[in-house]
Amino acid sequence: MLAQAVPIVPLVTPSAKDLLGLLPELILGGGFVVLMLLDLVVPARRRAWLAAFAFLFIAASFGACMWGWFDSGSGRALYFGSIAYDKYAMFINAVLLISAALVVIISPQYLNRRGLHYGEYYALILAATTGMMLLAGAMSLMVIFLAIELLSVSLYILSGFSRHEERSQEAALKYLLLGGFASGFLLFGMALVYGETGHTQLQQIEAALRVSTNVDPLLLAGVILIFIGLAFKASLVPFHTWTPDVYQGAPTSVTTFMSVATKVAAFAVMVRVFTYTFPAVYAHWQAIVFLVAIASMLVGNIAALTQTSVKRMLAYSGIAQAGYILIGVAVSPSEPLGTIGVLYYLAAYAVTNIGAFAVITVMAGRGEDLDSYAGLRGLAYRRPYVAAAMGLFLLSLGGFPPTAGFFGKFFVFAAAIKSGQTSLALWGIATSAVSVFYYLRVALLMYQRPAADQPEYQWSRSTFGGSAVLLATTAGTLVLGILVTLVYSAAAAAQGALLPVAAG
Amino acid sequence: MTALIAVVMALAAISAIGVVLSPQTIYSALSLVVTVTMISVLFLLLNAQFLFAVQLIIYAGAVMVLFVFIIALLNPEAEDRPALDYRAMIGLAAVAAVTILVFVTARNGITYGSGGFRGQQVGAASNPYHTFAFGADAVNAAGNVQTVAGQLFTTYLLPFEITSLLLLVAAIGAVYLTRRTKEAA
Repeated sequence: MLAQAVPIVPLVTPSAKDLLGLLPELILGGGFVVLMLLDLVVPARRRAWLAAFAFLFIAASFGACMWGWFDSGSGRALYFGSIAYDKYAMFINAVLLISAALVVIISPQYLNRRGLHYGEYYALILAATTGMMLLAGAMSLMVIFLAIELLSVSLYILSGFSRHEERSQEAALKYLLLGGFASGFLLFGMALVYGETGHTQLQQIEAALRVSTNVDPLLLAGVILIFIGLAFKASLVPFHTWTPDVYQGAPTSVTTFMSVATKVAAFAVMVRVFTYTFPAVYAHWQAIVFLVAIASMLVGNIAALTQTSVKRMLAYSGIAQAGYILIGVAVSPSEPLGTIGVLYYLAAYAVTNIGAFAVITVMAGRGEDLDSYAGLRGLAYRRPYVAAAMGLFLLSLGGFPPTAGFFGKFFVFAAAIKSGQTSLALWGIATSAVSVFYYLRVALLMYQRPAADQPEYQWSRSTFGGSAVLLATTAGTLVLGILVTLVYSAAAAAQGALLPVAAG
Repeated sequence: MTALIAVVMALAAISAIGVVLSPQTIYSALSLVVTVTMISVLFLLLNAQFLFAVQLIIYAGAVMVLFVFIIALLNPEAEDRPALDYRAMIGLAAVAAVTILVFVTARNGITYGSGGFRGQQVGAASNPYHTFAFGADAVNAAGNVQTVAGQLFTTYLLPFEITSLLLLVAAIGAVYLTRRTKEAA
């Protein structure tokens, strides 16, 4: 006998408003598919058009983000609590889209020189950005996992984009294997958290944890495993070993993109999950996040001292920067300045680091990448403006005022002191002092006369796009360092509207 | 029933270890068949008959046939593996110890509160926030397929759609990385 079929959940369909809230991601995801189709009709010599189309999609998506920021209907979870439509997601989306746009502008010239100009490149950049934007808004463990996979798979392919070069293949394979392993940790952690709380949506997990009094060890194991999975993506110590090799092996324009965008997305979701979903067990994960932050600052800065490759130095510097950003996550969840500091730091890091990588992307000559320190020697005498911009980016990474990096560090350290974690701030300040050494070493190198018997590196001429990107990142670094309130107030608004807390 | 589940889980774990440890690729693949089948049996024991069938058809059926087919096609030699050195042993032991510790404390209902670890009576450890929406009765009354479909197209609609994008990216990557170019040929 057939039992009467009764759906145990009322079948409600998502409304059109849900689609509107997802508009930035939809435009970019659609752009990814359209670019794949355009690649078929655009002649091989005109592939720079694809960059223009990619830029248009990114700009349209950015417009949708701006609309979402001012939309009074934002501040709610869409698709049955799967994804947030809030100012926090829009802030992160804007940072991601600006990063992607800058990378797309410098790419055609670089890819042409390397003989890698294929249409898939732009499509994959858009796909990775879509994944990152979904991650920034993710409100469900399922979406977090799938968004991470979407961005990771795109980046695995992109880091192996130079198919016939062994170092690029090695980078892709290493990233794929270790990344798959990290995803395993992440998924296992999610399974344990689901098993303990019975929910995959962050809002419900947060509510469930709030009412519980005792904490099951399995829940803690789950929380820690999720942290490991995310820490891998943010390249925090001790999950950082892939970073220098992948950054060095991948084509420089790809490194530019993933060094910034992956970190932004990973920290965006880390804040949402740890600071705002797991605050009930803060006492249990606090120590681990503390240790990871300190280890990242120490290892990143000390290892960067001994490098002789610009990409590896920036990779280790990125590890150290991730440690500083993690301070904002490690401070008490009740301290809003921590989250604001993370947002400010991410924005500052994005413009500065893209600027630094853009210099070595744009200046790279035909054939060999501009990677060794020796290749930068004497840059200031041939390309004075580029060298000055690079100097500014290095100062910003080192945390000198009046640059973006100074205020990024200032806010996270202030948050640490405000919530009584002074030791964390002291670790940060001490390691920043170390970092000045290797940043300035590169800066000084550019202003040294090349030795008489050593041939100078054959730098490329900067194209219009390359100059525009350098100009934009320079301006961004200065604006974030001088007109602080501009971005600070936006970051504060983003923090104030952050789901799942704002929904109550 | 609990004993049966334990047996199935043990078989799944043992065959999973076999996947990693067997020197011949084909044995690894066959161990994987056992693992996948055991996991599908777990679905069955948990009242998810539809997922049992899907798991069996897709994984034990389609995917594993592909695996075995490729192994037969490539005919790889037996693996030449280095002996386990002490560092690997220490690592394995540490992972095993932590895993066992976590699961034993959880199984015995020991919870971690403000005063450190606290023992509890077995059975009293059930979580106050353990609220699964789908009991066996509810699922069976509504129908397995209906429940899965209902969830898939409501709560998990967005993840479901993201999956399609993910698969598209993976397909493009596979084509790009293996494509022969004019320069290379």
